Order: sequence, then C-alpha cells, then structure tokens
Amino acid sequence: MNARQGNVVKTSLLTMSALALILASSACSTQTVKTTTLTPIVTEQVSVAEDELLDVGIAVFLPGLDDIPKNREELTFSDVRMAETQFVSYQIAQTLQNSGSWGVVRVNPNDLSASDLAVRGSILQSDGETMVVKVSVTDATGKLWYEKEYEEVVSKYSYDPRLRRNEDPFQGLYNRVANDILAYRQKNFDRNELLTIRTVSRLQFAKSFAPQVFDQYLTTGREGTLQLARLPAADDPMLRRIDNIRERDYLYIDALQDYYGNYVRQMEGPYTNFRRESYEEVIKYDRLRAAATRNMVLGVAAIVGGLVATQSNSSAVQYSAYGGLFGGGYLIKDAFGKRDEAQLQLETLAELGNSLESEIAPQTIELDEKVVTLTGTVQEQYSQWREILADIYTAETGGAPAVTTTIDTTPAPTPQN
Amino acid sequence: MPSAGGGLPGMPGLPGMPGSPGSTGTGSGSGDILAGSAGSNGNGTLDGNDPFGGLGRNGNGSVMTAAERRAVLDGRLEASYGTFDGMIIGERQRSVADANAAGSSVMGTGAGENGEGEAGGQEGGEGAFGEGATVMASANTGGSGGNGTMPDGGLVRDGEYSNQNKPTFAPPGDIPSGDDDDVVARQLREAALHEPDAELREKLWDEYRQYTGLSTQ
Repeated sequence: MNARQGNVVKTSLLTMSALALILASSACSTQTVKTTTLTPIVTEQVSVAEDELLDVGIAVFLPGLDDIPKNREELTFSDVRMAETQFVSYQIAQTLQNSGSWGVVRVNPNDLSASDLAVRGSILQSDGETMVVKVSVTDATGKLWYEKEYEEVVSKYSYDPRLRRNEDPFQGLYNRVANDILAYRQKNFDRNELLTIRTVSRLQFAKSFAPQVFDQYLTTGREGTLQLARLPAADDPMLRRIDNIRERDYLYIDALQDYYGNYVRQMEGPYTNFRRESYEEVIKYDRLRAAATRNMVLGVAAIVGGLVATQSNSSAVQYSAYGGLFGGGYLIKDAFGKRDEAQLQLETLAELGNSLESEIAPQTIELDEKVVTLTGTVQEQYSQWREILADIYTAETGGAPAVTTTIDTTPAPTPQN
Repeated sequence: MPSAGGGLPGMPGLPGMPGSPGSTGTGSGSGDILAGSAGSNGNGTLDGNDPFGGLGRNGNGSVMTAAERRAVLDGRLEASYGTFDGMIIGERQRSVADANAAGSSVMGTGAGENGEGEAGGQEGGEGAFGEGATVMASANTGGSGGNGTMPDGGLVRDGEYSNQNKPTFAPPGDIPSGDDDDVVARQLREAALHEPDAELREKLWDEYRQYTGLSTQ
C-alpha cells in the first residue's frame, strides 16, 4: 500500500467514523435524572437557651441580571427576576423561621449591620427547572460564616399539586440553605460566642443612634471584625432608651414582613403557574438548541470529510464519501429546522414570561413604593430620635444648651422708669 | 431628607415630618411630630441654635437644670413612641385589610394556583388563595406575620411589644381640655398624663404650657 492509498483509507475511515457518530448521536440523548426527593429541614435537636437564639436578617436577594449566562438571557425576564428576589428571600426567611433554630427571622431591605446574623444572596438562575442561588452569611461582628452556591434541579412532578404538599418546588434548596447555616452555627459557636454576637449587634444598633456614647464599646480587630472593648452598665439609661427604639425598629420590620407576605401570597399562584408551564418549554428549548448545535457540527464535519474522500480513487470510498456529503447536508438542514423550532419555543416562553410580568409588575411597583415610603417615614423619625438622644447626651455630660448661653448673654432690657 | 411641612405621602397615622433640628421657626407646624425636640418651640422665644429645642427655660422662666432638660427630653421620646407605634399599627392593620381584600379578589376571579381544587371544580386549588386570608388572620393576632418575638431590653425576649395601658394622672387645673391641641401639644399632653414621676410630670406640663402659650397668658 503506497502513501496515497494510505491517506485515502484514512480519509474513508474518518468519513465512516463521522457517519457512525451521526447514527450514534441520533440514537442516544442526554438524560437528566431528577427526583422529587426533598432535602428535609434540620431542626435543633437540643433545647437552646432563648438568649442564644440569633435574630436573622435576610437581605432582599440581588437579581443577578448582570451575571446571566449568554445562553440564558433570552429565558430570563427582568420583572419576573425582580419578583423572584422578594419571593426567594421570603421563602428562605420562612424556612429559617420554621426550623425553630433561630430567633426572629425577617426579610429586611435595609442595612443589616445591626442584625445578629445577616443572610445575603443573589439569584444566578431560575427558570422553573433549575434554580441557582449564591448565599453569604455574616454575623454582627462582621465575620463571614461562609459563601456558597446552591443549585437545585426539580422534576416535573415537583409541580404536580398532588405531590407538592403545599411546598414550593424549590423548598429543598431553601432547606439546604437553612441546614447549612444551622450546621455552621452548631459547629463553630459556643454559648459565650453567641451571646457576644448578640451583644455586638445590640451595641451596633445603639451606636447607630448615639455614636457619641456607644462608639467606645466596640473596636475593630485585626481581622476586621468587631470586638467588644467593654460593656455598658446593665442599667445604662441611654442603652435603655435605645432598646426602646430597637423595639420600634422591630415593629417597623414586622410591618415590612406584612408587605412581603402579602406580595408573596399574591404572586405565588401566577408565579407557580408560570414555572410549571415554562418548565416543559425550557426543557424542550434546551434540547432543541443542543440538537441544532450538535447536528450543525456533525453535518459540517461529514461534508468536509466527504469532500476530501471524493478525491479517492477507490470507488468504495467515493460511495461512502457521497453518503457523508448527503448525510452532512441532511444534518445541517435538520439543525436549521431545530433552530427554528427552538425559536418557536422561545416565543412561547416569552409569551408566558410577558404574561406573568404584566401581572406582577404592578404589584412589585406597589411593594417597592410601600417599602420606600414606610422606610422614609421611619428614617425621619429615627433622625428625630437621634437628635433627642444627642441632646440628652449633651445634658448628661454637662454641655450647656446654646440657647441658655444666648439668652444669658443677652443684655437684660434696662428698666424704664 | 425632606424638611418641614409636608411629610411623606401615604402614611396616614404619622403626621408629616418635622424640619431639621435647629431650623429656625420651621419645626412647629401642625404636621410635626417632634418639632419640639429641636428648633423653635412654637412660642417664638428661641432661635434655631438651641440644641435643646426650647428646653433652656422651664415654665417659670428660670434656666432648666440638666436633669430637668433630660427629663423633658425623655418625655418627648416617650410621647413619640406612642405616635410611632400608632403609625405602625395602623400600617399593619392596613396590610391585613389589603391581604383580605386581595384574598377575596383572587377567589372571586378564580385565579390562583392550578385549578385542581377539590371543592366543586372551582379554579384555584391549594396554595394561592385561601391561604391569604388565613395567614393574614394569624398575622393580625400580633407578631410579625407569624414571626413572633423581639428582644426586650437587650438579650431577653419577652414577647411582642404591646402598648401597655399606663395609668393616667389628672392634669393640673389650669390645663384646658386640649381639643384644639396640635400634634406636638397632644404628644406632650399624652406624655404628661401617663408620667408616674410627679416631678417629671410637672416638667412636661410646663413644657406643654410653654408650647401652647399658656405660660405667657
């Protein structure tokens, strides 16, 4: 066998391999096994002293719209994603609360620095089939507990109302988040450390209202975390005042929970419908896109191989080359067809998304307005309280009120006889 | 931050926000809840440089001691708590009403979860509605949408905050009915009526007299 004959054989083998690949690819498909198995929530096994229970603030999750992969952009609807930020945050808060392992758990759109524990996160993917969220947990001292991505892929049975048992299809993900936070706390903190966290958060809050008084009690350690420098007296009147204010802060956050609760309950029905309906569409779309890409690649490869093989002197190789050309052409045509089908799927999904968006966008706007208005009102009140506390501090430290000085230095009117 | 006057919209129950502390003569409008805490006290005797907001002198015209000033400021804090609590409670009641209305609306239209309800084929099934009214009803019983407690005075959780029914102490004879009190005067009156400390109570009444102009009559 000379060199040319060898090349021809190689080429014909390549062509045959491509054809075999084509046949093989049409015979098998990727399968994702999914179950409706739900990660159960872990609850505290031993009784925890009430003063060790950390209150948890859940920040409204970030929508992650800037981090959406290129191939998911068309499947993401910004208004839906914004609604999901409230929805997911609220669901995680409810899950943590229901675990019984924490103090009060609240969704809080504001600064969480005075929370015992702050949970922040962003939604990286949510399309009905898959949810990916990134979560970070930080305590009041500023210590980062951990940062982690959670992914959950649900089966279509997760949307079957007979199997859902009133739970969100992604409840397993929320449970995993709650379980991890609890596990971290159990593993890393003893009673004294938990009490320290609670004291720091209390002083952080106090400092935000009366920094002139409470700045001295907290220092920043080498690692950048807050540490207790010393403690105020148990009956410190200023701390008592601020504790009263903190109760009001809780009331305010409770009012926000009502907003979020109402919002989530209103959106839950249409949102679940959307996820269930889009579930199948997303899977079909992904399959069509994958098949279109695969067939296009194989089709091009088969044609290139076939073109080379047509140069062969062997009639057998030439026949197979023509087969490759024919098969490649068919695959490319099929790829275009699948791409068109995928586009139709996308349009169906867009209709679903637009429908949900038009339904929940007004509610989202209303929620935002309520939160902003109430927060603005409360912050104005807080400013007033800060002023009063500053005045009290001045009075307590012997500072003379400016007006007294002003009045006292004003010459008294000369009595007119 | 908005200054005096208008307050933020949509917040019935909480009057408009006061002007910045120390802003001469703007803090005592009828929309203020704490105007007396700083700035003018409404009687025109003080200027905007007063950090104690009109607490330089007591009702007798003599200079207040630090303890007196502190007592009056504490009274103002106490009074503002009541207003704040009232605003929040009002807001939460409105949320409950909204939830109930939304629940009724959803049920009426048959929207909601997925139409596999067991009762007579009405759309909706489990989930979205029904739940609304039920859950909010529980939220109305107090607590944060079921979230419950809050620390009281530090690390001890004593349960939900509640407006306690404090005893009321009769006002001095020269105090009128107060029917035409504005918000600040009403706060001062409320604080004085519920102040158990006789000395502080008298300070609050002095402050009330001064604010309403009684002391100059």
